[in-house]
Amino acid sequence: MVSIKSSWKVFQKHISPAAVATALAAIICAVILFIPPINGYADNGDFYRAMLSNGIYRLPTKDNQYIGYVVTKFGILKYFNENNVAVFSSQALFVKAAVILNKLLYSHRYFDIRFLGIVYYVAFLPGIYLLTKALTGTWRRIRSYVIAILVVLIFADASFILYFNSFFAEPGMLISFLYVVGSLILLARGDYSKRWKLLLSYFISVVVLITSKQQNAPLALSFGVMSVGLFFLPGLKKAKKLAVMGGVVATLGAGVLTYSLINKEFNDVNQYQSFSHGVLMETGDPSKNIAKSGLSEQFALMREQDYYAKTFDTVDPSSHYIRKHLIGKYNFAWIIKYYARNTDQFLRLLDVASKDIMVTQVKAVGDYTKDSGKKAGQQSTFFTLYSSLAGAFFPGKYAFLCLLAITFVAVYAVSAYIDFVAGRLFGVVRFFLILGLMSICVFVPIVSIIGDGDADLAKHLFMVPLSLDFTFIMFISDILNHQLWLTEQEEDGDA
Amino acid sequence: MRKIIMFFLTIFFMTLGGVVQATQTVHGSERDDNRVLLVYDSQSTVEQGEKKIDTLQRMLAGMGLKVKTVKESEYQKGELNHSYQGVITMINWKQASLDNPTFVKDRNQYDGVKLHIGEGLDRTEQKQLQVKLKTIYQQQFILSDDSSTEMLPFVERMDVLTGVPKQAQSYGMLKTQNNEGQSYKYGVINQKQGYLPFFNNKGLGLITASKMIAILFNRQEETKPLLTITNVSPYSNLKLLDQLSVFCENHGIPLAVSTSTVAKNTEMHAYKRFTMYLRRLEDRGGVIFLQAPVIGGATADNAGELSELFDNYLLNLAQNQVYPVGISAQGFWNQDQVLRNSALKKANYQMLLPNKKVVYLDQDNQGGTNSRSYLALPASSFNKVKHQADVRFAMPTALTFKMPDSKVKLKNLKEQIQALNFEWQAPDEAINSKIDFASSSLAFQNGQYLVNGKETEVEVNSNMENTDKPTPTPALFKGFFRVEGQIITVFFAIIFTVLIIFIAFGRKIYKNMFKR
Repeated sequence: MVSIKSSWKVFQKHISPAAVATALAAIICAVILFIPPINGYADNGDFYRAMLSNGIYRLPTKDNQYIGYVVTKFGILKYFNENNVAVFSSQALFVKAAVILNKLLYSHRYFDIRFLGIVYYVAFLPGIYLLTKALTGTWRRIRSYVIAILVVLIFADASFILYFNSFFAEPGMLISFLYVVGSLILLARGDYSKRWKLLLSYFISVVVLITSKQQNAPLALSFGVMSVGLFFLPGLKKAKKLAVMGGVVATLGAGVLTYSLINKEFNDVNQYQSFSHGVLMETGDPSKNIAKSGLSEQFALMREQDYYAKTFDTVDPSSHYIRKHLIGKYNFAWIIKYYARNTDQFLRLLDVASKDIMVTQVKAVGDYTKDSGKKAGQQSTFFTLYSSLAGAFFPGKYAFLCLLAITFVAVYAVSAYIDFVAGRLFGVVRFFLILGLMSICVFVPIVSIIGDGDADLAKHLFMVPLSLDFTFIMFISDILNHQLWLTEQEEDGDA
Repeated sequence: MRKIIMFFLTIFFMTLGGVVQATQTVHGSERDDNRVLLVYDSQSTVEQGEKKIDTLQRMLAGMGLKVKTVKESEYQKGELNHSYQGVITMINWKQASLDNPTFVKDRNQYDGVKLHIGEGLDRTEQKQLQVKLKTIYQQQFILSDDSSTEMLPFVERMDVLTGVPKQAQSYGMLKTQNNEGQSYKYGVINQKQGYLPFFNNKGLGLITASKMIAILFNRQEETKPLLTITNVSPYSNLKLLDQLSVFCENHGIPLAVSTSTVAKNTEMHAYKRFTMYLRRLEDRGGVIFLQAPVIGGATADNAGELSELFDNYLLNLAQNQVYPVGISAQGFWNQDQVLRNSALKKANYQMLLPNKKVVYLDQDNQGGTNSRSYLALPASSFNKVKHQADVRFAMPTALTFKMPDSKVKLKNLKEQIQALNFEWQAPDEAINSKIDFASSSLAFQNGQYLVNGKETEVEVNSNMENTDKPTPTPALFKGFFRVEGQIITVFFAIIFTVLIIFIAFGRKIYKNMFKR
């Protein structure tokens, strides 16, 4: 008994909860990504955006390279890359790093997707360390190690990690979000004397996150809300206050820049699908409704049509006729006005968006390579406990999401008020963080429905389950740390 | 005894082998009157060579010829054999020149019909045609055929024939614009050899070439052109289509429409409206060609889906008393075995439109044939032809106009139709079509529609009611999950309220602890 206690003491002394979380995440992610049969996500048709602009192309094969199986080998363009940057994205930073690494260690002609996996893997682990450190503070109690294990269970879930072996932009979002939340909580705790490093990490991560995908542009507002807490940092001199202000402006600027760089085609795709997958959905016969709003009722027949037809389509949405008589005749203001007149339909659409909000594993594509011997489209089940449970039991109602948001904001408002009155920082910063996270949960479904209808919902709503996960882990760790309402640090009991 | 049996067996098998071999030889050399080998040098996209190949393929399909298209550099020895009625050499880019001696050798030895289009007529071909070649530089020609004439675009160089023997037949004359006013024969046929100095994919040049090719392959059939409106879809301005059909009816102009349709959402009012306007068109003597869909991310694996899609298109149209007489598609659909077999073959009448966006699923370059295949040409390509009334079409031809999308364009279209001086084909006299799909059939014979062999009348104003969506059958457990969601929502609402009350009370108690 004594030896167990003394071993525990030695363990506590030498290995922090953050180190435990990082080590566990490193092992689990390595098993998923690099140990055969390797896992990842197959291409749903979106990979070209990240591939072409970074000089990577598909090697010609007899087999279909989409949907069914993960493809590991790609070609690297030898000469000048004439492809324009399809989409402006910070994802290019990760892909370019992976190409350099690939050229150094493997080949100048062929690209192995696992090098991208390595880049994400290396960036991901410090994020896990940072978050665990932020959530456990300086404590090394048993419950601190419980928090560390929960962090691994939630954020190293295979549904997230599978993204690493793919050209999707989501890994960059997950990783930068870890840094954002980790840096902000650590700043709030005030345990580090050199705050500028954390501030820099926070703002850089925010900009990377916002610029990783076009639909993240509106999130600049949520991150702006999160950043408000930084103005409560004690002892901020005028220059530093200006620096923080500059960071907030950069955050908002990144949003505006990302939005303004959405190219015409991308805009047309979103606008078209916000009509065919939004305005025309969840209603009986939309013919007369759209006629009332000034469009030809014939366009009601486009219900459920994708801009890029999966197989066949009646007409090409990019044709001159459709652009002139449909896409050119409405805009997002028209859509908002339409939903304002048809609120029941909009609420039904929000429920559709909320239905599978916690199902984070991409079900439309396979997770294995062809030589693994698995069936096309087969899903990996290794280390998916959290996503499976959350996906199965989280109620799929938008109203529930709103109530949850109000509840969390109210709960954290208490400590924010107490800390504000007492002149402490932690509760205030944490409150703005929760407020920002909850605003993502409430507004992203609305923006997604208005911006692209119910098309690709799982990917558009990626930030919602992630924000909920951060809120859940903060809530649990605050309860375990006895800091939910009273943030004054108690003395280490079992440290 | 054993030796005797072995002897007879040996004799028997040798005889059998001989018979089999002899049969194969006969079959191998059997000429198929429907097959033509088209060998081209280059697609030469700068010169729109790929469009010319497409037009020629569609033209040959219209003549009932199965055309196999091969790039000259990919030609295999012995490919040109007696199973073909003829061979066409098409030169789109002289600079590329024929560099496959195997093809040239096989062609020289071949004794079927031979047609050379474009420059590069070699000595053997000249000898076989019994002509001499003359190259002309920087000229503009007027092409005349009977009394019709057309000004051709300026050419940098062209090979024309001189010393054409008297027994040779010629089609169209090329006259220079300069003072000397020299003239050369356009299409020339000498026995089984033919020559065309160039191939235009529009206007009088095309019509004259088609006449010459039809005669060379013994396929001449004088027909009237079919006036066709293309690019109609359920999203078109249907009122304009209606006005157009009224105009055509009033002027005694028979009208065909090439329209796409939808397979889903057919319960909507918009679909009923679409089919109602098509019924009105049918009622006014117009006919409908079902236009093939655009191809997105489909692959050869989607053959079944494509066939089913067409079945659904036709079924839904037929249920709304719209009976297409054929299928229209871009020319490449006929060069792809999946597209051809899963869609075009459902109908015995097809209309091949010019290629716009080519997406092959399983390209085989083995153009199929049908009972009738219309060569669709933009009517605007005849604008420069003088004396249009004298133009004779040697094969089923559809002159097309794009569906107008505004009143102004409709007015222009009406004027253009009136300005064209053609005698139009009357569908009820000329069309004898049948479409087989799923387990049903639609036919149009002598101006009468037949559904599954039974005569049927088109009722113009039927089927505009009952457009509301039928109530879907509720899914199992859907109710349970809805109730579960609501219970949890109510539960959280109560917790939230209680929480607020506790916070208020808690704070009061907390404050009171410090009050004395």
